[in-house]
Amino acid sequence: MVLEKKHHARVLSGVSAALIVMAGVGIPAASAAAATPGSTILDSWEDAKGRQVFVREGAYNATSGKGFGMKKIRERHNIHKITSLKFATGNPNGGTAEGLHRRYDAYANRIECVNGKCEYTDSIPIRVIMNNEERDEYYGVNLRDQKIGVMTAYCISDTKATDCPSWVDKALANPTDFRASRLDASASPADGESYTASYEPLAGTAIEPNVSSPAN
Amino acid sequence: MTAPEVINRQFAEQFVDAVHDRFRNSAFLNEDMSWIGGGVRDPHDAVILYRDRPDGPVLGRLYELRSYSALFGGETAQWLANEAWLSDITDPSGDGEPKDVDWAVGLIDDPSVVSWLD
Repeated sequence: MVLEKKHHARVLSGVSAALIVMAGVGIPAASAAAATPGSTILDSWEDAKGRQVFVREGAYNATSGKGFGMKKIRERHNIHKITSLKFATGNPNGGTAEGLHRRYDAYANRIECVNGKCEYTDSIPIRVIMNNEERDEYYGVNLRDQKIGVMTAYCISDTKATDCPSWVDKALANPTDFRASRLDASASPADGESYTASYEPLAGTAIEPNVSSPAN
Repeated sequence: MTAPEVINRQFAEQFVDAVHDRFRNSAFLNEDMSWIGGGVRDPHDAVILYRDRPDGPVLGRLYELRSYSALFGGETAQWLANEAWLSDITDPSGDGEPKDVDWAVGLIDDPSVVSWLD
Protein backbone atom coordinates (compact mmCIF):
# COMPACT_ATOMS: atom_id res chain seq x y z
CA MET A 1 0.00 0.00 0.00
CA VAL A 2 2.77 2.35 0.94
CA LEU A 3 4.64 1.42 -2.20
CA GLU A 4 1.53 2.12 -4.27
CA LYS A 5 1.23 5.57 -2.77
CA LYS A 6 4.86 6.35 -3.50
CA HIS A 7 4.44 5.15 -7.08
CA HIS A 8 1.31 7.27 -7.46
CA ALA A 9 3.16 10.30 -6.14
CA ARG A 10 5.98 9.74 -8.62
CA VAL A 11 3.52 9.55 -11.50
CA LEU A 12 1.87 12.78 -10.40
CA SER A 13 5.24 14.45 -10.14
CA GLY A 14 6.10 13.32 -13.62
CA VAL A 15 2.81 14.61 -15.00
CA SER A 16 3.30 17.95 -13.26
CA ALA A 17 6.80 18.29 -14.65
CA ALA A 18 5.59 17.42 -18.15
CA LEU A 19 2.80 19.98 -17.94
CA ILE A 20 5.28 22.66 -16.98
CA VAL A 21 7.53 21.79 -19.92
CA MET A 22 4.55 21.72 -22.30
CA ALA A 23 3.37 25.09 -21.07
CA GLY A 24 6.81 26.48 -21.79
CA VAL A 25 6.86 28.34 -18.52
CA GLY A 26 10.31 27.09 -17.65
CA ILE A 27 9.73 26.89 -13.92
CA PRO A 28 12.10 24.33 -12.42
CA ALA A 29 10.24 21.02 -12.30
CA ALA A 30 11.27 20.40 -8.70
CA SER A 31 8.90 23.15 -7.65
CA ALA A 32 5.95 21.17 -8.91
CA ALA A 33 7.13 17.93 -7.38
CA ALA A 34 7.39 17.42 -3.65
CA ALA A 35 9.04 20.64 -2.60
CA THR A 36 11.62 20.64 0.14
CA PRO A 37 11.14 23.29 2.84
CA GLY A 38 12.22 26.65 1.52
CA SER A 39 12.51 25.57 -2.10
CA THR A 40 8.91 26.36 -3.01
CA ILE A 41 8.65 28.86 -5.84
CA LEU A 42 6.21 31.54 -4.72
CA ASP A 43 5.91 33.31 -8.06
CA SER A 44 7.51 33.40 -11.49
CA TRP A 45 7.47 36.11 -14.13
CA GLU A 46 9.55 37.70 -16.89
CA ASP A 47 11.75 40.77 -16.83
CA ALA A 48 11.44 43.53 -19.43
CA LYS A 49 13.60 41.54 -21.86
CA GLY A 50 11.67 38.30 -21.48
CA ARG A 51 14.12 36.61 -19.08
CA GLN A 52 12.61 34.35 -16.47
CA VAL A 53 12.62 35.63 -12.89
CA PHE A 54 11.25 33.77 -9.89
CA VAL A 55 11.44 33.85 -6.14
CA ARG A 56 11.50 30.94 -3.71
CA GLU A 57 10.29 30.89 -0.14
CA GLY A 58 13.96 30.59 0.84
CA ALA A 59 15.50 30.54 4.30
CA TYR A 60 16.71 33.08 6.84
CA ASN A 61 18.59 32.90 10.10
CA ALA A 62 18.12 36.15 12.02
CA THR A 63 21.11 35.45 14.25
CA SER A 64 23.61 35.00 11.45
CA GLY A 65 21.79 37.31 9.03
CA LYS A 66 22.23 34.69 6.34
CA GLY A 67 19.70 33.30 3.89
CA PHE A 68 17.96 33.94 0.60
CA GLY A 69 14.57 34.29 -1.07
CA MET A 70 11.42 35.87 0.32
CA LYS A 71 12.22 34.88 3.90
CA LYS A 72 15.37 36.98 3.86
CA ILE A 73 13.75 39.74 1.83
CA ARG A 74 10.83 40.00 4.26
CA GLU A 75 12.56 39.44 7.58
CA ARG A 76 15.84 41.24 7.00
CA HIS A 77 14.92 43.88 4.46
CA ASN A 78 11.26 44.59 5.22
CA ILE A 79 10.05 44.13 1.63
CA HIS A 80 6.92 42.02 1.86
CA LYS A 81 5.27 42.16 -1.54
CA ILE A 82 6.37 40.13 -4.54
CA THR A 83 4.85 42.90 -6.65
CA SER A 84 7.70 45.08 -5.36
CA LEU A 85 10.21 42.65 -6.87
CA LYS A 86 8.20 42.58 -10.09
CA PHE A 87 8.35 46.33 -10.45
CA ALA A 88 12.13 46.42 -10.04
CA THR A 89 12.71 43.53 -12.45
CA GLY A 90 10.45 45.30 -14.93
CA ASN A 91 13.10 47.99 -15.44
CA PRO A 92 13.11 48.59 -19.21
CA ASN A 93 16.93 48.40 -19.26
CA GLY A 94 16.69 44.68 -18.49
CA GLY A 95 19.09 44.88 -15.56
CA THR A 96 22.86 44.41 -15.40
CA ALA A 97 24.53 41.01 -15.38
CA GLU A 98 27.78 39.63 -13.97
CA GLY A 99 28.21 35.93 -14.54
CA LEU A 100 25.00 34.15 -13.57
CA HIS A 101 23.75 37.07 -11.48
CA ARG A 102 21.57 39.90 -12.70
CA ARG A 103 20.88 43.12 -10.84
CA TYR A 104 17.73 45.18 -11.25
CA ASP A 105 17.29 48.71 -9.87
CA ALA A 106 14.28 50.90 -9.21
CA TYR A 107 13.28 53.74 -6.88
CA ALA A 108 10.62 54.18 -4.23
CA ASN A 109 9.66 57.85 -3.99
CA ARG A 110 7.86 59.78 -1.28
CA ILE A 111 5.74 62.83 -2.10
CA GLU A 112 4.83 65.41 0.51
CA CYS A 113 2.07 67.95 -0.04
CA VAL A 114 1.92 71.01 2.21
CA ASN A 115 -0.54 73.87 1.67
CA GLY A 116 -1.39 72.53 -1.75
CA LYS A 117 2.24 72.34 -2.91
CA CYS A 118 3.70 68.91 -3.55
CA GLU A 119 7.27 67.74 -3.99
CA TYR A 120 9.23 64.52 -4.08
CA THR A 121 11.08 64.46 -0.78
CA ASP A 122 12.76 61.07 -0.88
CA SER A 123 13.90 58.54 -3.48
CA ILE A 124 15.24 55.29 -2.13
CA PRO A 125 17.06 52.94 -4.51
CA ILE A 126 15.69 49.40 -4.51
CA ARG A 127 17.76 46.51 -5.78
CA VAL A 128 16.81 42.94 -6.70
CA ILE A 129 19.45 40.27 -7.37
CA MET A 130 18.44 37.29 -9.50
CA ASN A 131 20.78 34.28 -9.31
CA ASN A 132 20.64 31.84 -12.21
CA GLU A 133 23.13 29.42 -10.72
CA GLU A 134 21.91 25.84 -10.35
CA ARG A 135 22.55 24.49 -6.88
CA ASP A 136 21.93 21.27 -5.02
CA GLU A 137 22.04 22.95 -1.62
CA TYR A 138 21.79 26.63 -0.73
CA TYR A 139 21.64 27.89 2.86
CA GLY A 140 20.58 24.42 3.89
CA VAL A 141 17.70 24.25 1.40
CA ASN A 142 17.72 21.37 -1.06
CA LEU A 143 17.21 22.86 -4.52
CA ARG A 144 17.86 19.61 -6.44
CA ASP A 145 20.25 21.21 -8.93
CA GLN A 146 17.72 23.87 -9.92
CA LYS A 147 18.26 27.61 -10.24
CA ILE A 148 18.31 29.65 -7.05
CA GLY A 149 16.05 32.50 -8.22
CA VAL A 150 15.91 35.89 -6.53
CA MET A 151 18.54 35.64 -3.81
CA THR A 152 17.95 39.03 -2.19
CA ALA A 153 16.27 42.40 -2.57
CA TYR A 154 16.88 45.50 -0.48
CA CYS A 155 16.88 49.27 -0.16
CA ILE A 156 20.10 51.25 -0.39
CA SER A 157 19.85 54.01 2.18
CA ASP A 158 22.62 56.43 3.16
CA THR A 159 23.13 54.46 6.38
CA LYS A 160 23.00 51.08 4.63
CA ALA A 161 20.25 50.09 7.03
CA THR A 162 19.10 46.48 6.71
CA ASP A 163 15.40 47.28 6.59
CA CYS A 164 13.47 49.34 4.06
CA PRO A 165 11.08 52.05 5.27
CA SER A 166 7.57 50.75 5.80
CA TRP A 167 6.23 52.74 2.83
CA VAL A 168 8.42 51.09 0.20
CA ASP A 169 5.99 48.30 -0.69
CA LYS A 170 3.25 50.88 -1.06
CA ALA A 171 5.43 52.97 -3.38
CA LEU A 172 6.46 50.04 -5.55
CA ALA A 173 2.81 49.09 -6.01
CA ASN A 174 2.18 52.52 -7.51
CA PRO A 175 4.29 53.17 -10.63
CA THR A 176 4.71 56.81 -11.54
CA ASP A 177 2.37 58.01 -14.23
CA PHE A 178 4.00 61.31 -15.06
CA ARG A 179 1.00 62.62 -16.96
CA ALA A 180 -1.43 61.69 -14.23
CA SER A 181 0.91 62.87 -11.47
CA ARG A 182 0.79 66.43 -12.76
CA LEU A 183 -1.39 68.44 -10.55
CA ASP A 184 -4.47 70.10 -11.83
CA ALA A 185 -3.91 73.79 -11.17
CA SER A 186 -7.54 74.21 -10.40
CA ALA A 187 -7.43 71.63 -7.64
CA SER A 188 -5.63 71.76 -4.31
CA PRO A 189 -4.10 68.42 -3.38
CA ALA A 190 -4.72 67.31 0.16
CA ASP A 191 -1.82 67.77 2.53
CA GLY A 192 0.04 64.62 3.47
CA GLU A 193 2.28 61.93 2.06
CA SER A 194 1.90 59.68 -0.95
CA TYR A 195 4.26 57.25 -2.63
CA THR A 196 5.21 56.22 -6.13
CA ALA A 197 7.70 54.00 -7.94
CA SER A 198 10.02 54.84 -10.82
CA TYR A 199 13.17 53.74 -12.59
CA GLU A 200 14.91 57.07 -12.02
CA PRO A 201 15.22 58.98 -8.74
CA LEU A 202 12.57 61.68 -8.47
CA ALA A 203 13.62 63.45 -5.26
CA GLY A 204 14.39 67.05 -6.02
CA THR A 205 12.29 67.14 -9.16
CA ALA A 206 9.26 69.37 -9.18
CA ILE A 207 5.72 68.14 -9.53
CA GLU A 208 4.43 70.50 -12.16
CA PRO A 209 0.91 71.82 -12.06
CA ASN A 210 -1.06 70.67 -15.04
CA VAL A 211 -1.85 74.15 -16.29
CA SER A 212 -2.98 73.15 -19.75
CA SER A 213 -5.50 70.52 -18.66
CA PRO A 214 -6.51 69.64 -22.21
CA ALA A 215 -9.78 67.85 -22.59
CA ASN A 216 -8.86 64.30 -23.64
CA MET B 1 29.29 21.52 -6.15
CA THR B 2 32.81 20.25 -6.59
CA ALA B 3 34.69 17.65 -4.56
CA PRO B 4 34.60 18.27 -0.80
CA GLU B 5 37.28 20.75 0.20
CA VAL B 6 39.59 20.42 3.17
CA ILE B 7 39.00 23.55 5.20
CA ASN B 8 42.31 24.52 6.72
CA ARG B 9 44.50 27.60 7.00
CA GLN B 10 45.35 27.51 3.31
CA PHE B 11 41.64 27.38 2.44
CA ALA B 12 40.98 30.37 4.70
CA GLU B 13 43.82 32.31 3.04
CA GLN B 14 42.34 31.56 -0.37
CA PHE B 15 38.95 32.76 0.88
CA VAL B 16 40.39 36.07 2.11
CA ASP B 17 42.28 36.59 -1.15
CA ALA B 18 39.15 35.84 -3.17
CA VAL B 19 37.04 38.29 -1.15
CA HIS B 20 39.73 40.93 -1.64
CA ASP B 21 39.60 40.21 -5.37
CA ARG B 22 35.85 40.91 -5.37
CA PHE B 23 36.50 44.36 -3.89
CA ARG B 24 39.08 45.07 -6.60
CA ASN B 25 37.51 43.50 -9.64
CA SER B 26 33.76 43.14 -9.31
CA ALA B 27 32.02 45.91 -11.19
CA PHE B 28 28.65 44.53 -10.24
CA LEU B 29 27.83 45.77 -6.74
CA ASN B 30 30.86 47.65 -5.56
CA GLU B 31 29.58 51.22 -5.37
CA ASP B 32 31.29 52.86 -2.40
CA MET B 33 32.72 49.56 -1.14
CA SER B 34 36.31 49.71 0.12
CA TRP B 35 38.61 47.03 1.44
CA ILE B 36 40.33 47.65 4.77
CA GLY B 37 41.98 44.33 5.46
CA GLY B 38 41.59 40.63 5.93
CA GLY B 39 43.29 37.77 7.66
CA VAL B 40 43.07 34.23 8.96
CA ARG B 41 42.36 33.25 12.53
CA ASP B 42 43.73 29.88 13.47
CA PRO B 43 42.91 27.33 12.54
CA HIS B 44 40.57 28.08 9.65
CA ASP B 45 38.38 31.15 10.21
CA ALA B 46 38.56 34.33 8.15
CA VAL B 47 38.21 37.99 9.17
CA ILE B 48 37.14 40.59 6.61
CA LEU B 49 37.27 44.35 7.34
CA TYR B 50 35.75 46.92 4.99
CA ARG B 51 33.64 50.04 4.56
CA ASP B 52 30.33 49.98 2.69
CA ARG B 53 30.04 53.78 2.38
CA PRO B 54 32.67 56.52 2.17
CA ASP B 55 32.34 57.90 5.70
CA GLY B 56 30.87 54.81 7.27
CA PRO B 57 32.30 52.75 10.11
CA VAL B 58 34.90 50.06 9.61
CA LEU B 59 32.79 46.92 9.44
CA GLY B 60 34.01 43.49 10.36
CA ARG B 61 32.83 39.99 9.62
CA LEU B 62 34.14 36.74 11.01
CA TYR B 63 33.60 33.73 8.78
CA GLU B 64 33.72 30.36 10.51
CA LEU B 65 34.42 28.63 7.26
CA ARG B 66 33.49 25.08 8.22
CA SER B 67 29.98 26.03 9.29
CA TYR B 68 29.68 28.55 6.46
CA SER B 69 30.67 25.96 3.85
CA ALA B 70 28.26 23.44 5.38
CA LEU B 71 25.34 25.72 4.49
CA PHE B 72 26.09 24.92 0.85
CA GLY B 73 27.02 21.27 1.15
CA GLY B 74 30.71 22.12 0.84
CA GLU B 75 32.26 24.51 -1.65
CA THR B 76 35.51 26.01 -2.88
CA ALA B 77 37.05 29.06 -1.20
CA GLN B 78 36.46 31.10 -4.34
CA TRP B 79 32.76 30.18 -4.52
CA LEU B 80 32.26 30.96 -0.84
CA ALA B 81 34.01 34.31 -1.28
CA ASN B 82 31.70 35.26 -4.13
CA GLU B 83 28.69 34.22 -2.07
CA ALA B 84 29.92 36.29 0.88
CA TRP B 85 30.37 39.25 -1.47
CA LEU B 86 26.88 38.96 -2.95
CA SER B 87 24.83 37.94 0.08
CA ASP B 88 26.64 39.50 3.04
CA ILE B 89 29.15 42.21 2.19
CA THR B 90 27.20 44.14 -0.45
CA ASP B 91 23.85 43.40 1.19
CA PRO B 92 23.01 46.36 3.46
CA SER B 93 23.82 45.44 7.05
CA GLY B 94 23.64 48.64 9.07
CA ASP B 95 26.31 49.89 11.45
CA GLY B 96 27.18 46.72 13.34
CA GLU B 97 28.31 46.91 16.94
CA PRO B 98 31.56 46.89 18.89
CA LYS B 99 32.64 43.60 20.41
CA ASP B 100 35.25 42.78 22.99
CA VAL B 101 37.22 40.54 20.64
CA ASP B 102 40.75 40.49 19.23
CA TRP B 103 39.74 39.39 15.75
CA ALA B 104 41.03 42.55 14.04
CA VAL B 105 44.39 42.71 15.83
CA GLY B 106 47.14 43.03 13.25
CA LEU B 107 44.71 43.96 10.50
CA ILE B 108 44.08 47.60 11.41
CA ASP B 109 45.90 50.20 13.55
CA ASP B 110 43.07 50.52 16.08
CA PRO B 111 41.04 47.30 16.27
CA SER B 112 38.62 48.91 18.72
CA VAL B 113 37.03 50.99 15.93
CA VAL B 114 35.67 47.93 14.16
CA SER B 115 31.89 47.45 14.22
CA TRP B 116 31.08 43.78 13.91
CA LEU B 117 28.19 42.47 11.87
CA ASP B 118 25.90 39.52 12.49
